[in-house]
Amino acid sequence: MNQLLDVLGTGLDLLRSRRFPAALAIAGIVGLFLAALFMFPSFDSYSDISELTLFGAFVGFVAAGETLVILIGGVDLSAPWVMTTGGILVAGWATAQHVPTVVAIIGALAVAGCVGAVNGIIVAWLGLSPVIVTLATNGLVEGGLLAYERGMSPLNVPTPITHWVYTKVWGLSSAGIFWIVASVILAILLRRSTPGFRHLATGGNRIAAVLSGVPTRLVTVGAYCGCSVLCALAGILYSGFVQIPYYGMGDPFLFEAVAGAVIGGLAFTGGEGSFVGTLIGVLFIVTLNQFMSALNVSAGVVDLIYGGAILFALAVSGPGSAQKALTKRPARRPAAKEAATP
Amino acid sequence: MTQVYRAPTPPTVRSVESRYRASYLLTQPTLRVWVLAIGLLIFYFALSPSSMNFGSLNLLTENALPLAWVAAGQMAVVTAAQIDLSVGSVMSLSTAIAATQMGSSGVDVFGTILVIVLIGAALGAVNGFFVAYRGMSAFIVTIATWSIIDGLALLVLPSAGGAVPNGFANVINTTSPVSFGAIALVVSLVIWMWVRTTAGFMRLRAVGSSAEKAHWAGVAERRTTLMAFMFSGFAAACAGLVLAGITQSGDPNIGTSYILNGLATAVIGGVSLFGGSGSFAGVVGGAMVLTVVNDVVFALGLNSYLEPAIVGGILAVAVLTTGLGSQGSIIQGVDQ
Amino acid sequence: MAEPVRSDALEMRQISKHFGGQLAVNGVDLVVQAGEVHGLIGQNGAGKSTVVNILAGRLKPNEGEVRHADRVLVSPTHVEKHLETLVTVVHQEGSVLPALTIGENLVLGEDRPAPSTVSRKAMRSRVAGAYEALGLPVPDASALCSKLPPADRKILEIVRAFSSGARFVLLDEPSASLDPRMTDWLIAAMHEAARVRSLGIIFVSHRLREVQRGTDVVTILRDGKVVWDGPCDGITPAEMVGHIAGKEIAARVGEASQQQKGPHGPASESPPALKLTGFTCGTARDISLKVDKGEIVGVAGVEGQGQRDLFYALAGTRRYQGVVELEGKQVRLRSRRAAMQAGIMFLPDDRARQGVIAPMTIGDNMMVASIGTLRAVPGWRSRAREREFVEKERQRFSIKMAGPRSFMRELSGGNQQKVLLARSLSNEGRLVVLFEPTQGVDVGVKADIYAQLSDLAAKGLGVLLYSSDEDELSLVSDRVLVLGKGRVVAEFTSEKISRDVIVEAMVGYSDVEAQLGPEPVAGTATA
Repeated sequence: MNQLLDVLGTGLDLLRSRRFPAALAIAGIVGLFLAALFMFPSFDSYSDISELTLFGAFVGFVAAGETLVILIGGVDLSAPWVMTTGGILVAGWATAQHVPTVVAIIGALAVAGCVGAVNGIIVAWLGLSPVIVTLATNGLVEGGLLAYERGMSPLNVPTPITHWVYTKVWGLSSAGIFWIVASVILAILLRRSTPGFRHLATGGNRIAAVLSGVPTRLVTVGAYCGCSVLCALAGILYSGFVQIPYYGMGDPFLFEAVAGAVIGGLAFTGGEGSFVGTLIGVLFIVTLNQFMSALNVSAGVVDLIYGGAILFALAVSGPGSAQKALTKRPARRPAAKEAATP
Repeated sequence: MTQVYRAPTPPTVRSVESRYRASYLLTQPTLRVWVLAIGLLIFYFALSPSSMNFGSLNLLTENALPLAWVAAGQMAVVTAAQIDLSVGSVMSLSTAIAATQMGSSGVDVFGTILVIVLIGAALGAVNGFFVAYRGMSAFIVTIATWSIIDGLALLVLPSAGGAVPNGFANVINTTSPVSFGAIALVVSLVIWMWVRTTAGFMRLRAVGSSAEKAHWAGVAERRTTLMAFMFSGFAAACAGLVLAGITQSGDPNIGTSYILNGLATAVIGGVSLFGGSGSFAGVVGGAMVLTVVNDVVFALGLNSYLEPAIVGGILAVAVLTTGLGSQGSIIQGVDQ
Repeated sequence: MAEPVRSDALEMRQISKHFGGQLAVNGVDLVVQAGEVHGLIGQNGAGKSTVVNILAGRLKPNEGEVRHADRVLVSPTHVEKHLETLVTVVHQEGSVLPALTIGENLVLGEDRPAPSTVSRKAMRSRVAGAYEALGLPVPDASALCSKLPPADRKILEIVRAFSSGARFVLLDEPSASLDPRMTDWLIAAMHEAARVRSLGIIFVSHRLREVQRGTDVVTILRDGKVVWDGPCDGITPAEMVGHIAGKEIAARVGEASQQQKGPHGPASESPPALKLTGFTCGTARDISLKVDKGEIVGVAGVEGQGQRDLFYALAGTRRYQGVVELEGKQVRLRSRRAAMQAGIMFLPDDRARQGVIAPMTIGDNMMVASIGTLRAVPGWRSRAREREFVEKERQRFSIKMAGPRSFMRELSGGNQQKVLLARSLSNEGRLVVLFEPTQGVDVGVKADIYAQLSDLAAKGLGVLLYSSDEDELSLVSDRVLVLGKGRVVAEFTSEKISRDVIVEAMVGYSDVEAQLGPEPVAGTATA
């Protein structure tokens, strides 16, 4: 009985913080589905679910990476070009240089890991703002990749990857299942493993964590490293989907990933959020995407709706624990004084 | 108790240091950034002696202008201990509107300019509202509005193009005898000299120092924050207008690089990411630094991909040498 | 009430305020006459801050009103506009804006049509006028407040309050950041302002001797009610303690103090738990001290004397020079982890910023320092062990909480401190370093904490603590060191310890100034 309660407890823990936005997101997904069924006669819900999970995987891995970093109060704005790099490097090495696919994948992930490590080291040891550091890295990775791959063409994604991305397992996208399983594993690791606890402690109050002996710098480097690896993985999967990777293919994913994370209830103050919440948020984003493309909506409107969705989710989440913990601000503010000297 | 109180230990503030001693001056960020700017300029002239003329100085100030203005907006927001990531898209939107809506008559031109800067200020007000009156994180709010405004820009102008009336473009592109950029910068600096003495600027710094304490000292901290964001939107819109004049067209993506560069300019110019201090004179210096770096990279025949790296390097040095070794993250705001 | 209430008195009548279900203040009557210095005392949680906030206009009471000269200033439905022109408050937490200069802080909040200019000359003359009126030397009006030590910032706030033109000045624990000489000045200034300018002054403090010296009338709060109110001469400090804490707690504190002076003397054969030689860090200079096993050593000193540098360096978070030996072995405290491995346990003072992890539960907060040990398999948390741990600690420290899964914000300050103490002590070590361990904590919890420290010493650990409360130091410590300008300027052993002796040493440190030379370079202005 105790164990059953424990499992239930873990389940609740997974969704614990910010339950409300995640619940809203689920409602949103269901709502959109019903609307689609109603509006589009050719809507085949089953195959669309499979497509949703596939697209969800691309955004979702990036979102999972961002969740990792945002949980410790940072952000990774180098996701777009690290993602692109993942796809392009694998294609370049496997096709143009005839490196075995598996080695190419490992190599690309390792490169991404190094980029992430650099991000993490600069943020942790030099204390610079992650916004500036990762924006700079984004540009540097772009420059580096363009310089490196200048001679390489044609770039084709190796067949094993493309093949796998398009496989379905029990009617659902295999890449999608991979993503969902990975998210759940990450969620469990976060709540039940010791490194996960230290991660949350670092995000909750960095100084308190330092004073309690948590190796916050390592946690930081690990977070950024993990984020970059996940982004590169997303890039590899996406390149399998498009079959010919192109420069800048990672650009649209940062917004969608962050939007998904926020909608899923992630707090930017750090220490609060869940991978499952992010999963739900990403599914919502992807469903919204499908819906909008079915409506044939222009790029501008898509951006508009994204921004709006993020704002809405944020408004609905309310203040995080950190803010609640501060003393309540009383209502009245003193009017300016009149002439002072007696 | 009628005892006469003994004179206590005097407050331990150093008597005013000679403000002209070198070691004191060198700690002033504004001075340092200008020393750097002039040094880089000399370096540039050494590399490319043919550029050592007023023409290239004019060009330099011309290119530095949009950056300086958007960075001024960033400075206002960062001084209030916030951040504005939507400035780039406001710039893009401004160029888009200018390139599609601006008619050629004088009235048309001025009318469109007015509308554009008002839109910029209004968009800034939206940011300010959510941050100041709803207590949301500036980072995520401005990411959301970044997306929304980008969307608006795309709706107005789906891809780079459009045209800006000649009269407008000619004014902005004057490069002799003195460039429009140089004049505009000087005028802004003069306005700055006045702004820094106002009570309003003092209240902005107060809010950036500690919003709560400012509140209890009687400062309308929410309104002040709102105005900071409105100014940021306004400044970005002005910068966008200048860009539209320079490129004589519109581009819904042109503003993206200005987000990082604008922040970098402000930080290099001595604005503290903690909030509470900053100088526009330093920001102009920072803009000059970045613009000269651009030219230096070109003159050295270096790959333009190296530019972000160089900017990043200068940024790191600026941040570290201001003694604010850990400036703290804008998101966290936690410091030891 | 000794005197009839004059018409220009500030009166609180039957003020009640509750938060949630909790009654913070219950039927409080308080009358401050013009020209009197009125003390307000009570322990944390007695309702002092609520009273202060209501008088300041920050809170509306649920019942009762605040009146002055037939005008209702504060009531459940109304707060008077421009209240601060009549009643000005110097708050405990400090309201000086660090990024602004002295002059700017002085003039901030004054009504101006925007955007008008603030001329340097005008600020300089205002600063000069305000400081001189109070008999203080005039500081540089364009000095940045971020570079000022906390005492100077507090003085700035006090000067601002007295020069603001308000008829009533409320000072909430002003002496916390002031050294004894400045406190003397403050007391004298309060009296002068009351006599000469007929201001009404409310002085909130937990330091009984200051209240005795400084006030004419005293009101004592306990559990939200007024338990005593009358002229200062009519009550002794001992009686005050009795009223403040209630009889049972006063007895417990008395007991605890008997325990402290008990048998645990230092074991002289084994090497000391801690020995510092030539220790320098920030403002702390060339400090040599030792803490024997089983000994409790207290450090005294006004804020800014280097104690923060010393303590945080021992915790492992600051670079230092000098030799640190733990039980005879030299160690290098490169990081907090290194210090923890060497056996140094640490409790910081600032709960909100450096202790409480707000998004985590109470149980999680307790476990942070020892999470590595609460596992069945390396890297994987064990619920069973965690449950056990939390329950054990809860009992050990008698923490009042709803359950391990609720959040820290639901706990009182004292219980939060207990959770943090449990965390700090959870990884067994040999030296316990505590920085202001009972700040913002009520007397009952204080007694509990003193008992814990006594236990630790009895087990043979060394304890080093810093406290700004000299009474506490003399109660708890076997030995007290006084820091002045970064150095140890005096040392007292238990027989000679009493609060007055410590204070004398602190006051005397300024004589040491002449001997030691110029001020240490301010690397850390806020120590």
